[in-house]
Amino acid sequence: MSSTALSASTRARRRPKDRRKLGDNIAGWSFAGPATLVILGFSLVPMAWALALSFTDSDLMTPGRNVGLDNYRALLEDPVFFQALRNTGLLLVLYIPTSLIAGLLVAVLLNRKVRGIGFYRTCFLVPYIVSATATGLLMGFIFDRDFGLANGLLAKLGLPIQGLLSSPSQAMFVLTLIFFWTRFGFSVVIYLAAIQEISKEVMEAASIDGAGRWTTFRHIIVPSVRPMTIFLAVWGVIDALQFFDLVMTTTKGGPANATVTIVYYVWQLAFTYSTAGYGAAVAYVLFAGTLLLIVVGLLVARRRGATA
Amino acid sequence: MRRALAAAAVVTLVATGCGGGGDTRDEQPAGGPVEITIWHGQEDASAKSIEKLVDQFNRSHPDIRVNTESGGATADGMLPKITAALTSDAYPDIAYLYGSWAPNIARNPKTADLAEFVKDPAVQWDDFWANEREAVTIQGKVIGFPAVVDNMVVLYNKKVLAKAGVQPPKAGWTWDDFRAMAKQATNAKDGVFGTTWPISGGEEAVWGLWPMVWQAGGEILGPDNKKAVFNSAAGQQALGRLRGMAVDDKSVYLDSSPSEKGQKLFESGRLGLFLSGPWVLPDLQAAKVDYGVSPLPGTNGNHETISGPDNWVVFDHDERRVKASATFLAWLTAAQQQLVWMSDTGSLPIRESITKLPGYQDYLDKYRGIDVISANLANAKRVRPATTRYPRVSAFVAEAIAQTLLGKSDAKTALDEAVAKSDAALAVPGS
Repeated sequence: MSSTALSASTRARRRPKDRRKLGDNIAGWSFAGPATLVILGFSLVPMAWALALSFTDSDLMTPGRNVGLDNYRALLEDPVFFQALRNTGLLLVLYIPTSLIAGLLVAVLLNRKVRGIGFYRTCFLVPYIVSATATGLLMGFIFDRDFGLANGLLAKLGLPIQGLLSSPSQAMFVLTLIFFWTRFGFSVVIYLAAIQEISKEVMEAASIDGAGRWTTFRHIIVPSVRPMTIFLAVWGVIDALQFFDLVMTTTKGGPANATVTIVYYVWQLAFTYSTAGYGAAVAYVLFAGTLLLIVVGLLVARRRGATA
Repeated sequence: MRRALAAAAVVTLVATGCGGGGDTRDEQPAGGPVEITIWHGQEDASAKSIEKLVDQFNRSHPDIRVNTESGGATADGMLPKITAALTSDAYPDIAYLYGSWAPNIARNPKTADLAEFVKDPAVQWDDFWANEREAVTIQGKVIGFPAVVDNMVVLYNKKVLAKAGVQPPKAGWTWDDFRAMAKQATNAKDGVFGTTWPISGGEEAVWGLWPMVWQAGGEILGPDNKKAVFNSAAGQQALGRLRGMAVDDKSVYLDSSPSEKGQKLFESGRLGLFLSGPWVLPDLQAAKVDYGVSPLPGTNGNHETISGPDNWVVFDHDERRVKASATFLAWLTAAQQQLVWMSDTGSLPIRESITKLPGYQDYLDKYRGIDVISANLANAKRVRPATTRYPRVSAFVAEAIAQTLLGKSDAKTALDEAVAKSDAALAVPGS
C-alpha cells in the first residue's frame, strides 16, 4: 500500500465523519439556536442598549444627545435617589435575615406527619402565588390609617392608632412587612425540600447519640441546608433590590417619597419624567451594586464554608 | 434525512429570526382598503361603544379598514406602552393619550402633523372647545384630534350632608364655605369625613390644587415655563387652607393609595364632598348614590376649574395611512357620532354643536348632574403647562402636598422647597 493510497483511504474514511460532525453541529445549533437568540435578543442586547442610553439625555421620544458621564454625576446630587437607596437598603436589611430565619423555622414545623399537612403547606405558598395587584389592593385596605383592619384591631385592643401607609416614617416598614408576607412562602418551600433531602440515617444516628431537638436543629439541619441558605440569600437580595410591584399598587412611592424604591424610581424617571437616559444610569448603578453585593456575599460564604 | 431536518430547522430559525422584528402591517398592497390600527385604551362600556362606532365606520367607508385594539394597556398606562412601541417601530396609527403627555409625544418625529388637514372646513375645527384645541396643538403642530374633555366639580352625598345638618352647596359658594361644610359633615365616630385628598405621589394629588391657585390669580409656571411660581401668595393660601382642613379640622381623609379609594368611600356614604369629574357618574348611578353636583367653590366670584382634555394622537407610517386616520377621526369626533359615544359613556360634549342636537336632552336626562358639569366647561379656561417637565414639577408638588397635609411642614416651607427643586428641573437644557 502506498502512502498516497493510505492517505486517500483515511481521507475517504474521515470525510463522512466530518460531514456527520457538521451535521451534528447544525442539529445542535438548531436546538440551541432559538434559546441563544432569545438570550441575546432579550437580555444582552437590551443591556448593552441601556448602557449606551445611560450616556445620553434621551427621553425615548427623540434620539437624545451624548452627555458623557453627566447622568452619573447628577446622581450624586439627587436627594430622591439617596432616599430610594435608603428605602431599598432598609427593606434588604430587614427582609433577608427574617425571611431566612422564619422560613427555616416554619419549614421545620411543616416537616411533620400530621393530618392536613398539605393544607398548611399550601397556606404558606399562597401569598407567593397571588398577584401583586391583588395583594396591593388587599393590603391597602388592611393598612389604611382611617378605615383599615389593622388600626381597627389596635383600637379594639385599646392601643394607639398608627399612621401606617399614610405615615412617611412607618410606610416603608409596612411595605417591608407586606413584602415579607408575599415572599417568604418561597423560602419555606425551598427549605422544606432541603430538609426532606436530609438522609434518615443521619437523623437516626443523631437521635441514637442522644441529640435533642435543638441540637438536631443546630448541628444537623442548619448545616445541611446551608447551600439552600446561600441560594435563598442571593435570591432574596436580587428580589429585594428589584422591589417594584407592591410599591406601584399600594403607595406609588408616597407619602412624600417615603416608599420610593430604586426600581420604582427608575420607572418614574424613564416613563413619567421622560428622562430615560438618567433612569438607565440609575439602573446601571443598581446593577453594579447588586453584582458587588452578591459576589462579596458569595466569597464570604465560601470562605466560611471552607473554615467550618 | 436527519441532515435535511436540521437544515430545515435552521432555515425556519433564520426566517423567523429575521421576520420577527418587522411590522408586517407596514407592507400593504397598493390597491384595496387602507388598513389602520387604533389603540383605544378603553374598558367595559367605553370599549364596547368605540368598537360599535368603528364597525359602523368600516361598513360605511369601504376604502378604509380600521382595526381596534386595546393596545394592551388602559388609558393610564398608554404612555409607557406607546413609548416602547415607538422605540421598537411597532406603533399603531392612532392612540388614546392624555393631554398632559402631548408635549412629550409631539417631540417624536413619528408623530403626525394634521395642521393642514384640520383647515378643511368639513372638519369644523373651531367647533371644538378652545382648551381642547390648545391641548392637541403643540408649537403649531396638530398631533391629532380631541377625544374626551372633562372638568373638576364637587360631588356631594345628599344623605351625608342632610344627616349632619349641612345645606347643599349654593351658587356662588366660596372655599371658606367648603371648609366649614366639610368640618360640619365630619363625624369621626361613624367614620365619615367631610372630603378626601390623595397624598400618593402622582398627579391625582396635585391637579385639584391648581384651580384654587388660578382663582386667586396665581400661576403654576412663569412665562416660557422657565420658572416655577406656584409658591405665590395664592399658592400658600390654597395649600394653607387644605392644611387647616386636614390638620386642624381633621375633616379630610388622606388617601395614600393609588387606587383612589375616594370614589368608593363616597359611594358608601363616608364622604360628604368629593372633588371629581364626570367619569364617576355612571358608577355612582350603578351604586344608586343620592348625589348632587356643583361647580367648584370660588374665590372673589371666580369659579375657574381645571380640565384634562385627552387626545386621539396620530402616528405617521405613510401619507395614505395618516390621511385615512385623519378621515376616521374627523368622522368619529363629528357631532352625531359623539352623541352616541356620550350616551354610552357619560362623557361630556367635545364640540359646541353637539349641545344643539335633538338627542342632547335625552343624554342630559340619562346622567343626572351632567348638565352642571357640561355648563362648567365654560369655567375651564386654562390647561396645565405644556412642557415635558410638568410631570417632574407635579411630583415635587405632590411631595409638598403630602408633607403639608400630614402636618410635617407648613405650606410656605413645603412650596418654597418644591419651587427650588422645580426650578432646577426646569433649568436643565433640552426639551
